[in-house]
Amino acid sequence: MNKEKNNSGNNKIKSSRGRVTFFVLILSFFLIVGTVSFTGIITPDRDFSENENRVLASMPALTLQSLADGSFMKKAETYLADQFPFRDTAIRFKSLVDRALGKTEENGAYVGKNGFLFDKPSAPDKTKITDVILSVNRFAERNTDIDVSFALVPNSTFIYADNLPDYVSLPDQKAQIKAFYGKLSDEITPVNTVKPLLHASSEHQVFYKTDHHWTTRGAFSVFSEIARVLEIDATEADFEFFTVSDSFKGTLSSKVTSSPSADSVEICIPKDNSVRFYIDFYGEKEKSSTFFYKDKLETKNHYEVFLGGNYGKLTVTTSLEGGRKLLIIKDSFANCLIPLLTPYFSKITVLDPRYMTEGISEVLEGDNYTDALFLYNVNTLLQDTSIRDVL
Amino acid sequence: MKKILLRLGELLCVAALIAFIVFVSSEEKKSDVPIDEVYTSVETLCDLEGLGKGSVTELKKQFALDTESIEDFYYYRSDSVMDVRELLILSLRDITLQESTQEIIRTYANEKKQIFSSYAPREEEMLASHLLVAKNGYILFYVGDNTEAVASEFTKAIS
Amino acid sequence: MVFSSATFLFAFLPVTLILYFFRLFPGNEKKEISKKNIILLLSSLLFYAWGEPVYVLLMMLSILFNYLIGRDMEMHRENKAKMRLILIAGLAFNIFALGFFKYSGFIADIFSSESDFTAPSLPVGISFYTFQIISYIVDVYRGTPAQKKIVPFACYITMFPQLIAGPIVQYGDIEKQLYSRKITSQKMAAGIIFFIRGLGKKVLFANTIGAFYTEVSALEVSSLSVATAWLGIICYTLQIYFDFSGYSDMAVGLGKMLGFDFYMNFNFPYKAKSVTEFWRRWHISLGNWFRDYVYIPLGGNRVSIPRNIFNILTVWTLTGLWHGAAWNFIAWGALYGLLLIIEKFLLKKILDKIPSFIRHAGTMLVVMIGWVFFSHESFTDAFTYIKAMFGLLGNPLTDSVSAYLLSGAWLSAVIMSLSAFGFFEKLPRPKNFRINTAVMTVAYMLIFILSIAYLISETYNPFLYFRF
Repeated sequence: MNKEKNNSGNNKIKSSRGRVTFFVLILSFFLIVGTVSFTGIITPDRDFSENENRVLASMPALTLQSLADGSFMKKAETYLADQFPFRDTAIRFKSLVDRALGKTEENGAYVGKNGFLFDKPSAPDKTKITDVILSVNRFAERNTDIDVSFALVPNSTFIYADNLPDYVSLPDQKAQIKAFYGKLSDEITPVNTVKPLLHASSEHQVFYKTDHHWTTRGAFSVFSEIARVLEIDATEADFEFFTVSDSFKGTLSSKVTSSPSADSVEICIPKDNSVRFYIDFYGEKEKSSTFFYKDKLETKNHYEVFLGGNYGKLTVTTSLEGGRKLLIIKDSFANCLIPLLTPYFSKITVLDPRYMTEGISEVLEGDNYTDALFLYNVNTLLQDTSIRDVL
Repeated sequence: MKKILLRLGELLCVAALIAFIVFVSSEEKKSDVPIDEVYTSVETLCDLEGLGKGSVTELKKQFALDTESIEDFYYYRSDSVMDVRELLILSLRDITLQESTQEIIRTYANEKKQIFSSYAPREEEMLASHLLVAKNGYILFYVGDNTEAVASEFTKAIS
Repeated sequence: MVFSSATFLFAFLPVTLILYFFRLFPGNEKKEISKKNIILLLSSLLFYAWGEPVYVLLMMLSILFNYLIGRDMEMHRENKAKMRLILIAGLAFNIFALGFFKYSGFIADIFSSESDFTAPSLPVGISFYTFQIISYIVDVYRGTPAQKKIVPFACYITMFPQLIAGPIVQYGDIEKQLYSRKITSQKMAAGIIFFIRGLGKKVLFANTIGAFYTEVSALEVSSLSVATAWLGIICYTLQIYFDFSGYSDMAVGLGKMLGFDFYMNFNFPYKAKSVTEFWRRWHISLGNWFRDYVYIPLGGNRVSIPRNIFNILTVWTLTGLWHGAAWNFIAWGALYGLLLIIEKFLLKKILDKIPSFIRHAGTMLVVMIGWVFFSHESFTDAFTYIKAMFGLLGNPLTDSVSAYLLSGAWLSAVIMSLSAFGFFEKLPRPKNFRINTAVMTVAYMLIFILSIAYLISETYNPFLYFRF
C-alpha cells in the first residue's frame, strides 16, 4: 500500500527563534478572538441600527419546541451576528474593500460615477401594476366630480443614467411611464415628468446622490407641469430656495457605507406668504404651521425635514376662502412639493396609502374635493400594492 | 464484555434504527381537536387587541389561497395598512396540501416583509420573525409578540 | 454549526478550547487525555446537535452500534468466518442507514415517477461520518485492535473539525493520536495558520466569486452568451475549490489546535496536468478511502485488464453517487472514470510528448466541463450550457451581462486564479527573522480580521458540498 505521507506541516523546527514566531502568532490570534468575545459579552444589546436602518435581533426564547426544530439555533446565530460588537465598523470596512476591488454593487445599491448611488430596481410585477391601474381608473370613474391627474416620476437611474456603473442596463423608464399613462382612463390627465426633469438636470442636481428621493429642484421642475395640469397660475419667480443642510447622507449611503458622498437639502417656499395655513396630523403629531422640521436635520435622515416623515393622512387648511380642495395620493416623493401648492387651494388632504388606517371612501366623505393628484415614482409604483388596497 | 450483552446491544441498536426510521417517516395524521379549542388555547397569548375578524373573501384576497381546501378557519387582521399584526388558524380538509399551503403563506409573509423593508424597520422585523407552524392538518400563521409561547401552546393544543 | 460564523468563532471555539486545555489533572497525562477526549466528544455532539437536533440521535446510535461491532469482532479474532459475518452485519447497518437517509428519495423516483414517498431530510455530514465508521470496522477486521472504550471511538467519529465536511480520516491514521497527542507551540501556530487560511479561502474568495456565479445561474441557460457561459463556469470552478479546500484547511487547522494531525485534503488541484493527477490532488481523502476500501478489495489493478477497467468504473460511479443522490452526479463520476481509463490505457505514451502547458490547459478544460455537469441537475441544462460555451446556440459572443460580470469579477478572479495555481506560495519569504515574524503575523491577522468583517456583513454564506 502506497500511503503518501504528504506534508502536514510538521517539520521539526527546534530553534527558539522559531518558537518566538509561533508565540507571536498564537498570541495575536487569541487576542483578537478574546477581545471580540469579551467585548461582545460586556456591551449591552442594541435594539436598532441607524446605520443599516433596521431592527437588530434580540436574544431568542428557549423552548423545547424551538430546540427540537432548530429555530432557536438559527435565531441565536442571527442574534450573535446582529449584536457583534464591532458590527458597524466591520460593515464599513468590507464596503471599503469592495470598492477597492471594483465591485459596483452593494446591498441592493449601485455605486455609480461622480459619487452617485442608485437604488437597484426590482423586477416589476405585471399583475400588481394591472391591479393598480384598474383601481386608479375605477377611482376616477366613481368620482366624476373630481379632476384626477397622475404624475409618475422617473427615478435617478433614468435621469442620471450616464452615471450608472459601466455595463449596467436597466429598463427604459420613459417607455414604462408612457405605457402606464396609456392604460389610464381618459378621465385622468397624465403629467409630463420626464421632459422637465431632464431639462432641469442640465442646470441643477435633480436627484440626491445618496438617497433615492428627488431634490427640491427636481420636484420644482415637475411642479411647473403639475401647475399647468391643475390650472394654477404659478411661475418660478413666485418661489424662493433656501439650503438647510449640506451633509445629508440618505438611504443609499446606509447601503454603501464607504461612500463619501453627501448631499445638500434645499427647501422651497412661496414668496407670497399672505396665505396662512396650518397642518393637521390627526393625532399622529401636534398641529403645525410650518412644513419644515428643523430638528430632523440633527438626525440621520435629513429628508424628513419635509413634514417630519410620512403619515397616512394629513390635511393642510389655508386661509384662502372658497378655493379648490385638493386630494393628493402619494409616496414620499411628494413631501417636498406640497408646500408649493399651498397658496392655491383652500384645503389639501395628503394621503400615503402605505400608512393609511382607513379606506379612501371615508376620506372622500369628509369633504367635497375638486381635484385629485396621484404622485408616485416608478420604482415604488412597480412594487407597492397599498394603493390598490386603499382605493 | 460478555457475548450475550454484545449481541443484545447490537439487536437493540438495530431495533432503535428501525424505530427511528419509522418515526422520521411517519406520515402526519389529521388532528381531531376542534379548531375552536385550538383557537381558545392560543387566544390569550396572542396580541389581538383592535384586530377585526376577517372573512373568507378577505382570506382569499390576502393570501391567494384555495378556499376549497380549507375546512375551517380563524382570521384576525387590522384595517390599518401599518398594523402588520395578523393571526390565521387554518384547518385543512386534505392533509396532503399542508406543505403547499404553508409555502403560500410563507411567500405572503416574505413579500409583505419586503414591502416594509425600505421604510418601516419595526414592521419589517415583526414580519421577518413571523410564526408559521404546519402540523397534523392545522396551520398557524401569526405576526405579533410572544411567538415562542404561541408556538408551544399551538403544538400542545393540536396533539 | 458552521466554522465561518460568529457563533463558532466567538462563542463555541473559545469556550471549547478553554475547557479542553484547562488542566484538571496536572501531572497525570493519561487522565488529562481522557478529560480532553470527553470535552472533545461533548463539544462535538453539541456542534452537531446545533445543526441537527434530532439527527444527532441517529449518529449516536450509529456510533454505539459500530462500537459493539468492533468489540464483537475483537472477541472473535480466531474465527475468520465469524468475523466476516459480523463485519457484514456492520456494513449492512451502515450502508442501509446511509442509503435510507440519503438515497431513498432517489431510489423511489427510479421505481415510480409518481411516488407518494416523502424522503427524509438529509442528516448533515452523514456521508462523511458513515465512511469513517466503515473505515473503522474494516480496519478492525483487517487487524487493528478495536477500541475498548467508547469515548475515544466516539471522538474519532464525531470530532467537530472534520465531522461535517471532512477530510475523511481513516481509523488507522488516527488511532494512536486518540491516546497520545502533543500540542506544541509549533503545532498550535500551524493550526492557526491553516485555520485562518481556510477561513479566508471560504469567506473572502469562495463567497465573493460565488455571488457572481449565482447571478449567472439565475439566467435562462439557453440565453447565455459565450462569454457569460465561460465566465460563469470559471466562477464556479473557483468557488467550489476555495469553498471545499477552505473548509478542509479549517478542519486541518482546528485538528492541529486540538493536537491531531490530519492529512491534507487538497494539493493545488488546478495545477494538475492530467485527470489522473487531478484526482491525486482533489479531495484526496475521498480518493484514498475509495482506493483502500473499494478498489483494492475488488482486486485493484492486480487483475486482468477488463476486470481492472470494471473496478475503476465501479469506484468512480460510486464516487459520483457519493457526491449526490442524482443522475448528474453519477454521470460526472462515471465520466471521470472513463477519462482515467483512457489516460491509463490509451494515452499514457502520448501524454508525455504533449507540452505541459497544453496538458495543463486540457485538464482544466475537462475539469470545468465536469463542473458543468456537477452544477446542473438536469442533463438538458448541462448540455445546453456546454453548447452555450462553444457558441453552438447562436447566441452572441458577449452581451451586457458578460460585460457587467467581467467588470465586477475580473480582479477577484485573477487574484483567486493566481492563488489556485500556487503563485502566492512561491513568493520569497523575508530572510530576517524579525521581519518574517512581523510580516506573517500582520498578514494572517489581517486576513483573519477581514474575514470576520466579511462574515458579519454577509448573509450569503453557503457551502456547496453540504449535501453530504
